[in-house]
Amino acid sequence: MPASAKLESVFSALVDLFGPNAVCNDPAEVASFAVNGSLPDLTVAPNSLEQVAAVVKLTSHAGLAIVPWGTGTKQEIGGYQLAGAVVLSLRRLSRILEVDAGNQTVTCEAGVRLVDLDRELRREQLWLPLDPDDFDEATIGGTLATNASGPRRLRYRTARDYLLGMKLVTPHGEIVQVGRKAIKDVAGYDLRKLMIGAWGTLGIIGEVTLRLLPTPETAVTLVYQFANLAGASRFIACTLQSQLQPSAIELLDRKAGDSFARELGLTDWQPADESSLVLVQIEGMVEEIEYQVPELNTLAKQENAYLLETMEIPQERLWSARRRLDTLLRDGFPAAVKVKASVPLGTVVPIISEARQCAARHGVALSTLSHAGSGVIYYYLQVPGSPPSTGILDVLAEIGGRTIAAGGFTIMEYGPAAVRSSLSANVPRADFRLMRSIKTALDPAGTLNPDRLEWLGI
Amino acid sequence: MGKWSDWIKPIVGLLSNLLWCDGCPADKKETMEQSILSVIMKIVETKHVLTRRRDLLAYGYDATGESRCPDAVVFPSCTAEVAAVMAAAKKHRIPVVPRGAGTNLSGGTIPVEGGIVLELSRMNRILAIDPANQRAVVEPCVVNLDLQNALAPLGYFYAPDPASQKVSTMGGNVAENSGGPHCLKYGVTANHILGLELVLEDGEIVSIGGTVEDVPGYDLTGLVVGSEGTFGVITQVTVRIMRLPANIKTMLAVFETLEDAGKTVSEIIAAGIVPATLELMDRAVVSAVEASVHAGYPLNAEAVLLIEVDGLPPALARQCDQITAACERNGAREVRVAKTSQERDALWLGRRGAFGAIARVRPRYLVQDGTVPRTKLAEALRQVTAIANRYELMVGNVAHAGDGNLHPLFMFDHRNSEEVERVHRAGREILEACVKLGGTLTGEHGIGLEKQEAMSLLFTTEDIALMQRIKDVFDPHHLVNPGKIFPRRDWESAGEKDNSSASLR
Repeated sequence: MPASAKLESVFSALVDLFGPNAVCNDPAEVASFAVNGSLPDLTVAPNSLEQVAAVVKLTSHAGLAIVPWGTGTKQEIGGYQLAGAVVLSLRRLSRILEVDAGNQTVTCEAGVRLVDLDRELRREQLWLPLDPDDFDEATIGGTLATNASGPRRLRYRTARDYLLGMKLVTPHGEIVQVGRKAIKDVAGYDLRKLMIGAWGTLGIIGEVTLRLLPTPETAVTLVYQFANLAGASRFIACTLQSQLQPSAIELLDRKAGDSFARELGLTDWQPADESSLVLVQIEGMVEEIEYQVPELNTLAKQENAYLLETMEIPQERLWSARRRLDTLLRDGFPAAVKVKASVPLGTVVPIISEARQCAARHGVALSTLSHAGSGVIYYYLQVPGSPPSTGILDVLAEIGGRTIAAGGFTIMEYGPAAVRSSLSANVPRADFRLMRSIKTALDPAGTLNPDRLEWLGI
Repeated sequence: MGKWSDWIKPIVGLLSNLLWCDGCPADKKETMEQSILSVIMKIVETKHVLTRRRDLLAYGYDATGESRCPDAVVFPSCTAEVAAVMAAAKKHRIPVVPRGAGTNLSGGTIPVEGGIVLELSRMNRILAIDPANQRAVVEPCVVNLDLQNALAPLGYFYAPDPASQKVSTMGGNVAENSGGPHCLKYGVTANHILGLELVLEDGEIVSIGGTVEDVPGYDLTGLVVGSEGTFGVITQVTVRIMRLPANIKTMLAVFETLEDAGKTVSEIIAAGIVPATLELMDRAVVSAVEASVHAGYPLNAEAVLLIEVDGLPPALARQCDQITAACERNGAREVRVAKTSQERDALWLGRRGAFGAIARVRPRYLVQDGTVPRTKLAEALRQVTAIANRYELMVGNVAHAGDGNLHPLFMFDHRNSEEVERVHRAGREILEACVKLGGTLTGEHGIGLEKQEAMSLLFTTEDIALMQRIKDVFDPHHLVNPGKIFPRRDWESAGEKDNSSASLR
């Protein structure tokens, strides 16, 4: 059956199942699901887990591909293109089913947005400490599927440390449950871990039960200006080796610091070329904050750092500005390149320094952000247009090579496809063969997000 | 002095057990083919291969008391040897069961289909400790406590601390996704593993995960942790290490009822405190423990809570006050705060010696591992008592109360087959009760053999089929620790599909 006829039959079948309001193939409406200029063939918004399963059964049977969609905040990552796919929107699976204060858990559908979940949980003085950049828009399902994390991962870790139970729809359209509400569960294989960070390629997350923490009594963020990266590095190392318990330590280089200061109107940010900005957040009991602030200031003073005057700025505004940096550092640069690197945490500053020096040598505008205590670096190459200069390719090769030498990994989140191969030579690895086999075993027809695999390296 | 028959009977019983294990009837004649054995002996040297029955018996058991005879026990010294042995075994379709210290509580190391027990005790080196990058690399048979003792002088620790840590090995901890009393605050093994080296059924050596936090692609590390040795042989582990808390407060609270202890647990959590540890022991366990290790626990209380908080000094003071107040509000007779590290060690000695102390009461115990949502703990304990009474069995309770992880210990004499039958039936009922309360079959001990038939309480046919498809990716010929986790009939039907995986029995 030709593709268009397949689509027609799937479309009619879906309309029969769900009614015309849940299904759409009108180009004007479907345009809201554009990804890097490409459009899906049709979109469907099921109302329940059973409906999701029915869509998957029908669509996979017809040999079409499905792209699960929360709020789409990460769909454009990796230069992804929709090629004749059915977008399965989870927006109507947005119910919070249970907040269990006694057990400190929440059960909710995958389409619930993090910001809405947060508001509900705080009513019971509970909290899910996941703070990715797209916190204000992202869904919990999308956050789990992409294993998105933010600055608070330093103290509170990431999604895999909070997921207790999950109901998912397999590529065959079956509903499977892995884990429930028990805090510890080793019965059977841990498919929950497999689904986190699988980018919707192994199953569609429908409903989750999450472990929560009690909300902290209070919080403070200290914003320091260091004369250079080396001083910041020593301060960070001392803090990590101490008994102090920061929730987040963010290291911003000069250019990223400029953007941050501009967002908040920080007039006392007076950097030199090599200056760096460090954000340290502490959360907890009043006594813990009162103890740690002077300790941190002492450590910072040892490196002649300057404490910016940000005490009047609400926590939420500070961190919201930090989250906006991802967009700000790419705005205005159509061919901007963003690379994420995961490196041993002791190598964060040396690697950033070398990348900056390389960028300067090649006249490339580079900004970096990092979760310094977690070993995660984000590089932003502010490229005005195509084709990319050889300078860009050289800087990327330097970043890629240096990261691999340190035993780390890089992945390009934004950037022209032509440039991706400069990042690192693809050495075939046995574990990727296992990943491919898992994909084939679970999804032999390649129904779920098949075009995502290449970017994942699988 | 009783009749000599009073003491000769147990000795004869003991000897019978040594001579005849469950899987080794006296007339067993089959042995592994000599050609295969000589290949393996060339890989690891002859002296590192055991084939005499009395030696085989010593490596075919685990802490459940079950045992089977393997056909050979092989002691490799490095990954390359493990790989070569696996490749040779695969050629002849011989099952391989990886083994660390054999302390697991679910039958994970029992070679139900014979074959080779791959004993990894020669691979016991700590390869690297890297505090600047908060990680360490170990071979699979590094004993958990040995790692802790190597890290402590540097001011670091590895958080998962199963009660078996004096003996259990890192590879085993990874295979079972071990927990321990400190996992309430710090998480279980799965939250502390950065990467693994795994040898697959055909000898292929695979590095999964890495030495950094975010690794591209699927979370294979998360999948392999807790896979109970059924995906491959773990030959190296990269772990996350953390700064050792300098300030710790340990308390023992004494209660007149289990309910009061349970209510206290709920209140402590509801106050927004995240203790490092919140352990419950009942009267039966405490009296056995005191007779054994003299930790100074009170003998006439229905329940005790061992509570520990760590963190910054000013915070600890307030948390201690809040915890003491919660205990007293719920009728605690006494709240003892350890003032020195010796006092702290004594309190922990009591907790860690709990399972071992049971041997004073009866020769064997069956310990359950059901885990329920924390708020259901008191109800679960009530049901354990009711079930034990109904089956006329002695039971003692240890629980990771903060996690809702029960450890009812049924104490019995394994030579009394009628009592054994009642123990197994009581155990099954407790599993059903835990699942009905919204919990799971096992919080940290694994499914293994012990609970494979109970999988259907939690999983549908589709759930299990999905897991089996993943197993087949790693071990298509079902040679790595076969017969575990899934119900027996699922193994049988899988075997029909692939007739080439016959054992040598």
